[in-house]
Amino acid sequence: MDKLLKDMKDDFENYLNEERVFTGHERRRVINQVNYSSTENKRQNFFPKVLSSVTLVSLCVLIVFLVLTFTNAGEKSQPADLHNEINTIQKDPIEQENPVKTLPKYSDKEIADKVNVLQNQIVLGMTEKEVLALLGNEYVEFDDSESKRGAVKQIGYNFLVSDSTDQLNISKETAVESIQNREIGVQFYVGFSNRDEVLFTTINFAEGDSVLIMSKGKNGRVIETISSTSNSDVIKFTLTPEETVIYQKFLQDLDEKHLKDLNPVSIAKLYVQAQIDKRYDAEYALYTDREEFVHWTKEEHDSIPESDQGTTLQTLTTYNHLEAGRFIQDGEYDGYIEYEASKNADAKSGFKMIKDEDGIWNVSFMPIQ
Amino acid sequence: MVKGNTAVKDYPRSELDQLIYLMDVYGEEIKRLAFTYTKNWQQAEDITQEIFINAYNHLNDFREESTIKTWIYRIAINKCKDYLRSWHYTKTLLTNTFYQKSNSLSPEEEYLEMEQRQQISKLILELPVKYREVIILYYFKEFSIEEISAALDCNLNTVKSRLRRAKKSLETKMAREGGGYIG
Repeated sequence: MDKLLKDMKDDFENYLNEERVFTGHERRRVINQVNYSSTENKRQNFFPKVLSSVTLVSLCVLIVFLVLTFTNAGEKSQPADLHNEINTIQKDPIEQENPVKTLPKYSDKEIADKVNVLQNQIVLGMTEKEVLALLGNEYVEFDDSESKRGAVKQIGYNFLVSDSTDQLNISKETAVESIQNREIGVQFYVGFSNRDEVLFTTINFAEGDSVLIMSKGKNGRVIETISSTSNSDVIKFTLTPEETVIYQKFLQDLDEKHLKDLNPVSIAKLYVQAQIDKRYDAEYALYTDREEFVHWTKEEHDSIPESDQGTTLQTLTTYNHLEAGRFIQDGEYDGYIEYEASKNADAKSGFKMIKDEDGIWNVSFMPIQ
Repeated sequence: MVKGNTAVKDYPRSELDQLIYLMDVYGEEIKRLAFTYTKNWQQAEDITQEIFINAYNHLNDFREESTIKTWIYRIAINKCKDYLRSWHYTKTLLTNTFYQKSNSLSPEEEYLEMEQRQQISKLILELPVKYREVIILYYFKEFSIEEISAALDCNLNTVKSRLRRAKKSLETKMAREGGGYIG
């Protein structure tokens, strides 16, 4: 093996590419970038000097002005000065008549954090009393007995609103525009059964230009996106009721025995759901544990920063239509799901799976590479 | 010709000249190294650019206890690993992965693909990063164990054990592919 590898240095390089890969153009790009950065640095060094000089001169002028004013005020106190002073004071009450009504809009991170908290706090089967204890009493109640979801009523909350008048401005319809504009950070609905237990939750929030609608209930899980650009694909990701039950069990102990009756496509879907739910422990547990296929440790996985985890929308877009994919086994324990993430893509996508020694199909590290 | 272990003191004095020198000597191999991590030429190009800009910004940090080759490789490996941890690598779809490439080969190309050394090259790129990098550095970039240890910032025994496991893993993969290349 040693000799073989030593002898094949050139073959390996040729396999990567037989031509030169680092071009003169790239070399120039680096030099331009470096030259540009140097110019910027010079500017950055120049401007603080100018600014500090201007500040110093202004300060001196101000001190001279204050000294002169103070001297004049001591020498003469004329009625005209007092009149001016009264005029100035009169302006204040007028300004106070128009207090700022709105708060700054909440950031996308604050919205994402709130979504995460709500997703984890409110679980199916909780009582109404428990929900109200957690979320408070600022909600609107709707009759839901006509719907097919089995709930008798649902309550709706608006969280992270920038204008306090929106706090209880809640209808059953998704407030797409207000959410897109971040005037309402999160819309949250909870459906209750006739035994006052949580049957489903729906959470609406914005990510980029899209509004995400995530519902979970005993009838499964559904995620839909409403995009501001009408020509983009509608993205919908669902877990069936059976997959939802197994997913919930799996989240509790991360034991692969729950997966034994699932087909590879369903297991891949649980992986996607775990990513969306930011359950990175479950995501790692769904990777293969065949030693030769393990690419990084659990500790390394845990240390991946949140900024590198991608957004829900990125996850949905990448694995769009995975559930309609076809599993193809192409080795004793290798296989992949062939699916069409986008109709506009040049080629179909593949999602690699590895059958572990326990016979259960798991997700390959970097499954779409 | 300047060898890879020449210290920075032999380099041109101006920082820009040093950068140009680094790119002339290492540009090609660093971009190829980046590709072995990213498996995508566009990403390899972007990362190579970042590597040289980073090197330029840290020319003063270079200590002569390591060779300039080890130093630039260390910067390159760290940059590549930052990329591997990012969303772009782990979650996005790449356009020229080997997975897709194999679907579009002509019969003649399929035949060539089966040739032993190409097949081994392909299998090396499929190894987990920690095994892939030691094989590439040791056999194809001709680093010593000590140089790999410095470039990867890990101790000698770790490098030796990874190299051993990497070869074992490669042998297993080759056996599975029906090669029987045990040498």
